[in-house]
Amino acid sequence: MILQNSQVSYEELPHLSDVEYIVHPKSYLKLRLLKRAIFFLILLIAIAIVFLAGEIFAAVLSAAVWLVVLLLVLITEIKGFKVRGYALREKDITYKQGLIFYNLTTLPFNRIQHSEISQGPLERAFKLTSLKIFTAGGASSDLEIGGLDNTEAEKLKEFIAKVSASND
Amino acid sequence: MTDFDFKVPQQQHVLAVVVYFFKNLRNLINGLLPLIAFAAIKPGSFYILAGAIILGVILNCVFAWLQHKNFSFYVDNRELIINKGVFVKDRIAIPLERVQTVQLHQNIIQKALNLFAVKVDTAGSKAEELEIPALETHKARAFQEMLRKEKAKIISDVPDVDQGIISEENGEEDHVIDLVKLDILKLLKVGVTENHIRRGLLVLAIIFGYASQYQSIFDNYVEPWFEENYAKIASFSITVVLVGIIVFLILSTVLSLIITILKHYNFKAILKHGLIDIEEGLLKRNEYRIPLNKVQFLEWRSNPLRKIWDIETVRIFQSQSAEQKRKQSIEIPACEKRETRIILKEVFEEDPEAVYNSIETHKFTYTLFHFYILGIPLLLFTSVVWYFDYYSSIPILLLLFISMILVAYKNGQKMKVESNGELLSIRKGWIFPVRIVIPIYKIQALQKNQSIFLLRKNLAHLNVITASGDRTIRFLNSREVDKLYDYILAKVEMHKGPWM
Repeated sequence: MILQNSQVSYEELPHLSDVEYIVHPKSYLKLRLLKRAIFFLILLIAIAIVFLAGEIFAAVLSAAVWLVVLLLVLITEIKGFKVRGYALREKDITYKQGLIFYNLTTLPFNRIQHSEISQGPLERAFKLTSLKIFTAGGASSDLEIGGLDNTEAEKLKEFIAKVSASND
Repeated sequence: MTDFDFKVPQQQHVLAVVVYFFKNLRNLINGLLPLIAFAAIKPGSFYILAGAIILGVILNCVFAWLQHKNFSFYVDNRELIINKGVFVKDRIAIPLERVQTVQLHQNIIQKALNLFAVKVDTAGSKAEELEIPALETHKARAFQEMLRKEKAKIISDVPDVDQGIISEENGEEDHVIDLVKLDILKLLKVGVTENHIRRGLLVLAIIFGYASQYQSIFDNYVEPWFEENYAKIASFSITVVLVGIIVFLILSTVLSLIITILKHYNFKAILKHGLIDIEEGLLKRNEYRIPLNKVQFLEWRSNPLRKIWDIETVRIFQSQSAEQKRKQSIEIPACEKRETRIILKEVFEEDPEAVYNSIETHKFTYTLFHFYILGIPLLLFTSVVWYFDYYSSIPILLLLFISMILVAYKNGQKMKVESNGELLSIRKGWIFPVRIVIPIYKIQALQKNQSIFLLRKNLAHLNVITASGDRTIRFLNSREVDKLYDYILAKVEMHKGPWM
């Protein structure tokens, strides 16, 4: 076992697997589906143009591919939504996501550089906000938690600002 | 050491004019090469070309002199001020806190004139690379020392005191630890064990890059010749192509050897004043200074030839902001086991008694994964080959596939992550072994990744994120990953003080 020789026994450490994750409001799923729907609609229009231009075979083929990909995306979004969640502990924040490709990311507060909240026009309509947290680890470790309730996002940002400032 | 008062505006050595001349010349040539080449080929343009060259040289001389006259630098009120520019006059003021390191470099011209280029590395979002292109040796060193002392003063908030009165420094002055030194024999070993093929391809790419600029010449002159002699060329057999490849390989190896020896000539790495100080180079003398606290992790690499001679290449990865174009890693080309122990002790304070416990990769799944990754394109390739009736190559492809799977299996066997409690060590690679050592407190964030297939097998990938890049260990037991994950987080979160 890897931790046999460490000064801290494993039982004393906090276990991430014990933590409870906070889920997104249902409206976030609707937002995500809407964004996907817009994208696929644009694709459908493009296929329709191809069809009207006379390329029947190409249009039918791409329509079939379109349908398959759309179904896949719908399934992963809807089922994957249950997987999404964030967990706030005393010293770090964790986010998990992904149905087929599961990803768990944890940022310790004493390594956070700063955080930002943003709202696109669609998000504003759904009364949701995105929180972006930046570390020194570069783009791959910058955490973006979308689809948060507005007040929740504000409180989270303030909390993070407070804990990361106290660590400087 | 002669005392220089850097509080008063300083100028470079008068021979800076020569340095500027050649600098301008190089920029000019790079920009105008196609034009010059074209003009050189066109008949009758000789006199125009000669005239243009003479005019260019005269203008360059004048411009270089003006560049030197307009360049001055000094330190004032905790800021480094540089004034430069002929038409557009720049005044650059850098607060001394933002100065990270000061490094001395020498190209051939500067070496011949006994001058140094001083490069000042700064922190902050803008990739400001400040350079003083031509100072005499002792002045450059004095400037380097002065900046270092000024920085140290600012950090410890001591009121402005004259140089030399700070007595605490003297103890530190003498404390120099040798890390790595390369003699000519080691240098040859380094040269022989470098990756020559890649170098050769790079050189080829550069040549083609220049050659593409001559496209117009090719169209007008080369192509007609080509068409005339096409018949002769087409009759060249496979043997000529093979000979060509062999010649290429030999040339690229020799070239790479020469480049390596020139690049790393007289390599010296020492630890001094909390900095890793590296000097190397024959025609171009380079110096790299890395503050210890900027080192994020180290990577040791080896290959079969290096294993025979018991040397490894060490790469020092330092932190940098996203916009900086500075080299992400600095290389120590050859390091013995003994020197590795010293480096681990001095740079990472490794406890030589501490035991490393490890989690090993599930080699079967690792191999299976590569089986699919290699197998699918191979299957496609084989079907194409089958379609075109090149049956004879199929056994070779099969052999290639089997050997790649075997190598994947051995790689899976070697891949593991281990820890002594303070340091994290990732090992991978069989033919080309790699070892990455990261102090746990330097870790910025952690990620656990599992595809749906891995979830079912209870395996996961662990991604360790640092300020100098990510490193991943794949196909580990999921439960073990959780434990290591918790441990690393606890260690990072318990760490008091700056991580840099």
